[in-house]
Amino acid sequence: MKNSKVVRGIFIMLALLQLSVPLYMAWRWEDILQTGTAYQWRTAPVDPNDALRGRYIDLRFKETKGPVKSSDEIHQGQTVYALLGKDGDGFAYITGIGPQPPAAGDYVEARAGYKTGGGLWSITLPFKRFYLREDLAPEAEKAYQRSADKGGKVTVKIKNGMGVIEQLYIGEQSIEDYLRGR
Amino acid sequence: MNKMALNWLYSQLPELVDKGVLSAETAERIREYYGPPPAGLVRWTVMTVFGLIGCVLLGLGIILILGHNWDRLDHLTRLLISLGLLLAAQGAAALALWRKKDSVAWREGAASFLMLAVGASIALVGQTYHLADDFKTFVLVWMLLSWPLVYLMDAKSVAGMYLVGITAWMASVQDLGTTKQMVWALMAVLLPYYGRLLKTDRYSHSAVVLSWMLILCFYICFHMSGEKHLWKLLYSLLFSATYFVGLLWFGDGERNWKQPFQAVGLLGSVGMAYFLSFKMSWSNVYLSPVLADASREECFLALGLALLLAGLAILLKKRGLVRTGLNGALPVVVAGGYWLHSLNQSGMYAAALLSFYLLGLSISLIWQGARETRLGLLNLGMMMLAALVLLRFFDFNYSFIVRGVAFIFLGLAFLIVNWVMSRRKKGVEQ
Repeated sequence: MKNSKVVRGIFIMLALLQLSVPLYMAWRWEDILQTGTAYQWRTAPVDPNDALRGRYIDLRFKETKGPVKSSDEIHQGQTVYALLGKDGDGFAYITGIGPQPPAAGDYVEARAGYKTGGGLWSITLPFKRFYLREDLAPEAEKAYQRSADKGGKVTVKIKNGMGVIEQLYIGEQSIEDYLRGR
Repeated sequence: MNKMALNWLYSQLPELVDKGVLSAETAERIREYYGPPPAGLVRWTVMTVFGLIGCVLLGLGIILILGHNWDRLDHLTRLLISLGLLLAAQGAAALALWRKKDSVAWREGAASFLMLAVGASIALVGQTYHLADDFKTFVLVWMLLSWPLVYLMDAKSVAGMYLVGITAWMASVQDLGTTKQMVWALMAVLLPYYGRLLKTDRYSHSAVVLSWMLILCFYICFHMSGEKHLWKLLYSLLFSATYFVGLLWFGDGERNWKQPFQAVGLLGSVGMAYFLSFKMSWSNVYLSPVLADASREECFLALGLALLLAGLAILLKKRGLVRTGLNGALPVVVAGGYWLHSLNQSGMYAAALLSFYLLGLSISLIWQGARETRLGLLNLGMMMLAALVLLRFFDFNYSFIVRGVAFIFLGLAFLIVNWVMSRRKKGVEQ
């Protein structure tokens, strides 16, 4: 530490870099929330004991399979791009999966799972956690158990291949409102 | 200038500046002229340790409170909290750097608090936007944003946490490709700092603790770095090299715990030798497939380590530090084991060679301990011999006859040596 001016200068640059990381993360995700396209996703009934890990719910989705063009080679664990569409009820489904981002339409970057029947592949969506207040977690577990047969839904904002969860619903109520109303 | 005088001068500087005898610039110029304070002055005192523990606990406590997930706070408030926490930690670090440069407690405490704050602020943003579990990116970004603090603030605590962090990162990387190997570059960024620390005071508590962490993290990362078909040879080379490094550059540590390289190298070598003295550790090895499967990198690594070991051995010889060649001979014995195994694939020959090596090693330790009247060494040799005897007595891979005959011969050999020695002693006394 002979030259303290240099040290201080580098420290200031490092401090700015440290600040820029959470700022950039927040800007990127907030931008998707504000300007992304909204999709609704049906969550699959799950074993709540497994789904709730500490302070978050591990989400499973019903629609995680899609067709892959026969010309495209895909292997397990690979990064793939899932083109999204909406069904008659406004829920999201996967219209196609490919190794390259599609030229048009909303898509989400995901990880290839396994090949199922009929030329379909399952994928792991990048948004799979919903963080909760720690004291709400046990209540959420019970609520999730009760609604498991009905299934909940998640609203997600999608932009440029990235998705961020907006809210988790049980029936028509957000999970927090549902828990508060009880 | 001698160390004590410099200690005294450095302790006087703050007071002289406070009372206006010297200006802050002059004090700084004096510091620059004499260089960093001698190690005695910056020894880790109780104050430093308490300060460090206090800051780490404070940081961890704040992380836990944020982890509660205050759902009534909107996104902006949460962002402001996470940035505020980071700014506060940066302020404390700046204060330590600008005003409390000579206080080890301040530097270590503030630096470790800042490191924790960096992690907490990134994690809080992740929680706010329900980002999925991407532990490896999180830890990598966190570590990359933290390691410069080691140099800027001379913070050994950050160096230690960084080592743990990059080891955790490597554990979280699943694929066996080149990504995992990046850990060596991440580890190497600490080496200039570590080297400087060794130059100034390699036996200070902090340097010794950092040495231990470096060695352990290195071995854990090496273990995770990929499949090793030649693992017996690679690990024996590595343990011996570690031991030699210890003998060469850490030979003056007063206590065993101040000799981390020797401790890990010797324990690793001896542990491996015991393991390989069992037939079953060889019996499932089919030599030709092993050599065929071993990647080119693995062979180069083995060759490189062997050359390194030879270089270290020559240095040891030059400095007259070689007492017995047996301690570092494990790689040669293991290579011999591979050769014997190619002659007899049952594993019996190779395992027997390792048993004889351990026998020779324990006897040489007993001999050395008795000759130099070092009770610790003598006891170590006796314990190793007892362990070997016990293991082979219950080793059902050898028939009762073979074991019985071997034990009788060895017993007789010890008795004969004893008899010869006592006769010689009598001859000397007469």
